[in-house]
Amino acid sequence: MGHTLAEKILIHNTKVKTCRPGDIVITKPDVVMFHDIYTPFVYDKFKEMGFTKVWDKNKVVIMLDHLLPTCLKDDPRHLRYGYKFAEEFGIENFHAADGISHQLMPELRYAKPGGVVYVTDSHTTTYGAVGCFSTGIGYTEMASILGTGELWARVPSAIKIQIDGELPAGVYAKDIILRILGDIKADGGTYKSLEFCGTTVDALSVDSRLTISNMVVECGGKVGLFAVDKKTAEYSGVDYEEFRWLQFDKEAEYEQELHYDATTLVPYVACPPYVDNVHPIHDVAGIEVHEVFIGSCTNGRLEDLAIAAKILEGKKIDKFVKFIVTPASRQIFKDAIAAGYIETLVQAGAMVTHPYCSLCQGRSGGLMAENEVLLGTNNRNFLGRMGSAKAKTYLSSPAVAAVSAITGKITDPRTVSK
Amino acid sequence: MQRSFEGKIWRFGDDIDTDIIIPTQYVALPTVEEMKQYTFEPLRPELAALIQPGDIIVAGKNFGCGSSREQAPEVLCALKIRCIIAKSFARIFFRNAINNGLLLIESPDLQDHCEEGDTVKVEINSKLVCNGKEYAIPAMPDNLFTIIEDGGLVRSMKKRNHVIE
Amino acid sequence: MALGEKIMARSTGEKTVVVGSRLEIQIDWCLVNDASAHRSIDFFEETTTVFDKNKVVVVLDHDTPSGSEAVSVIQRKLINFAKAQDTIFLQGEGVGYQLMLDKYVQSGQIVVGCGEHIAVFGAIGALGFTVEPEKLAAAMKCGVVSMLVPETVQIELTGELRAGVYAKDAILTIIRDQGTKQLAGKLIEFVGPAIKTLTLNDRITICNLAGKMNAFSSIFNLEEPEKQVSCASQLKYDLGKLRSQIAMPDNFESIVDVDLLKNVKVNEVFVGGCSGGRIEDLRIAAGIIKGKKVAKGVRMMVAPITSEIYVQALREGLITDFIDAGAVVMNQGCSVCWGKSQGIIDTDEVLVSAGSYNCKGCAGAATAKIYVASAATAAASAISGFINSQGGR
Repeated sequence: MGHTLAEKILIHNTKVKTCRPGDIVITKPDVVMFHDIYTPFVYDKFKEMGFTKVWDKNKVVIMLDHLLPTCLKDDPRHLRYGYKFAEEFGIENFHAADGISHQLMPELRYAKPGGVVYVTDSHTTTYGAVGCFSTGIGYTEMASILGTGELWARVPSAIKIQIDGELPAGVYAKDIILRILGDIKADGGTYKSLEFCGTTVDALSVDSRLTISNMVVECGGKVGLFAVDKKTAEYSGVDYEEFRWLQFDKEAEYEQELHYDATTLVPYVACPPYVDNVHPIHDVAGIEVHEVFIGSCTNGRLEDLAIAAKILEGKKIDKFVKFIVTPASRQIFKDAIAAGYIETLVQAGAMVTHPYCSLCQGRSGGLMAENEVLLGTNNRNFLGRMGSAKAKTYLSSPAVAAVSAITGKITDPRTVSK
Repeated sequence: MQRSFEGKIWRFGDDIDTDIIIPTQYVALPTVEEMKQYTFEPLRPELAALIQPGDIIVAGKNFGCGSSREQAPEVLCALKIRCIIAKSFARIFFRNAINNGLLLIESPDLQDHCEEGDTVKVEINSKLVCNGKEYAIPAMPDNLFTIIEDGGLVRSMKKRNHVIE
Repeated sequence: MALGEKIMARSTGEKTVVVGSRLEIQIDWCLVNDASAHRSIDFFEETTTVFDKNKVVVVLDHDTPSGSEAVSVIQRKLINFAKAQDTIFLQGEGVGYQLMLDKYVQSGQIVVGCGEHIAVFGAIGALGFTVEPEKLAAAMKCGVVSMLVPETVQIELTGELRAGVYAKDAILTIIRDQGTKQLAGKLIEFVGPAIKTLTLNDRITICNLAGKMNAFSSIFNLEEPEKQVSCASQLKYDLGKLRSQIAMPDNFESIVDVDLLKNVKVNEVFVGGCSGGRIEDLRIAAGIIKGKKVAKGVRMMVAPITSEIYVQALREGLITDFIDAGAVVMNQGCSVCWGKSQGIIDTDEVLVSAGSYNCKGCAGAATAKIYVASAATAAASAISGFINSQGGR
């Protein structure tokens, strides 16, 4: 009998003989992580529950990525709780302003192929790109895992998404996932495992796959998985031969199968105020933008900065457009500096910030006034998230964002000759 | 736990996300008590002050979508919302609500047949009654219902660790 | 005539000016930013046009990128004004004072704005001074400001700064000695043989904090550095005798030797802004942290002053040094010093800032403590975790 990727990983983790969607299994996570938005709550709940030590300190990671740099009065308190938990319970896997947690987890190889990982954050689905069953939970559950080393999970049903063909110029991984979200809708993937395959997928870099897995949660998805291939193995520092089990089964049962021809895809834009309000770019081209953001755990990686730098090389942005760029980790920041991308972006008019969650989280770093329009490469455009409830946020790929920063309007990158 | 109760309805549409339930800038406030006044602010800024203990939220699809912030069900509990009845719930919100002892009920029909201000009677794991009509509701899995009955996951864990209240 | 008086005379077409007399002086530059000067726009009727759109510089630099909806509203107001009046407009490129020094202001010119750092133009022999927003609006309408001619006080600088002692320490020493009343309302003219040993960066750093003494402004006499004029008073400072200084929290009334402070734990450090974010400051700070790590739990915030300096810091490898040391490298602009949305500090936290503000609550909690010092002191404190001038504990 065949299994979906999600089922395979759960079987691997729980050692059950087999499982079907709907079954409740008790997983033993390989790694858990919590970040600075939730450090005081995790600490308090953990102590309140009566635990005196974590189940395995080597499997616990604490990351300060949302609130460092601090921007609101209560932020330092959250950082202090992070240090407090680490010190009291001996957590050595500790990262302060090293980058966005969802970039660091696969980059530093905490989240690896075949693993089960829980994090107090919805975009934990990101690590599915390296074949990791990873999903978000609340801080109360995190506290219970820290004490017990276990968490119940319902085996998800799965949707297979096959994408074949060569992506046209100007169309990227972000466009793939936006198109899928627009089709499946905000609750179309609720509780499910979205599993991606096809020749397009094979050709994507791991960075691009991370972009896709990252946004699976925006349709309610529990996990967003890719099979392990040689690229994954290299990225994660594992032996590919040991992961031949984490491949697609022909006999696996999928609730739904979607097929996409990559050659028909175009740049897409998620229009306010819903992530699934996706339109092909020609529907929104020409809308004036006041601010552009390139960054976040969705699109702050080296290849995203490279695309933006290529478009902006030797050019200046519209003088009235505010342009913010945030690399997703210290390593990416350094690599982008070495490649000349950061200089290009600053010369073009960008404000390049330190690697952290930055504007995406909507607390600071580019908030909007009434009637202003933000075009961002991040993953949420909900009402009121970026300042005024009367501001509008559109989501797109870095290519769309970069060319639009130059023109001051939402612009199709395919119409700009290089 | 009371098996049957009644409450006044506050009615919402689809896709009520966690940025609407409790915007990010309030999530770092020290206590949920301080946060609760901002519940639903971007969509209905006056509402938090009007909610009374025992009131019930009725919503469409995908209630609680978006971030994993547990403050979303927590502020609803702090406002003493008795339960949420929606066509469907987002996954993380669902788990977080259970873990905070907040009762969630899936009903595909109620939202289409009620108005704000109506009263709904809930018979747990059995049915809803509103405006003279009855709506069947599914039974919640035992392990989850136990957490709600315990009053949330913290209490469950305290029991496990023999921590006296 | 003192240099400032010469400049004012020239702008009115008079041969001389009398201290204490009222003048209508022609303005060469108006600076309108998102700090307090934006209020001048509220006094500007929609039908009025600025006297010369090429002399009005509208800048977004203080809270960039914007940390709140309220600030974005102010910035939108500035953008709309700049568009309607077709003025010079700069945003996201760093601190307006530095941009104007780099691109526009020339020696002998007169600049008005609403912030206390506007004396910074004295570094190139231009005269910058502060007016209230309503007066700035009037200046924008007609290009003239009515003012009383201030008294000049000359400060003669001799000797040369020793290694480990910087221009920031020099101006802190002067503020320490002169206090907030002695030179209030006076125009400080820097003269003396030490001027040729000072870089442009040094002169900017010195002029930048003149406002702490409530001075009218400050200016370097670059053309005639030996010239002594009869004026209110003459002060003398031997740069070679100076020691590293630090302004104690809440105001600039208590400034002491850094070495007197022992065991003061720091939570955050800032290298950046108009007082500590130039290339020399970044080089000094990078040199101190290179190969080392920021102390655990300490937040080291770095913000180059302008895009140009950011790029230069990239090319010199300084940004990479900061990244490797564990610092937080933010974008060009006022950043932590302005304290509205970057590097906010909590109750009872300690910030050592190479910037220029240390008032209660200006970077977060009112009970937090902000010390102001040189970039070197800030960087050294980040490594050791305690306030110290250099070389660790």
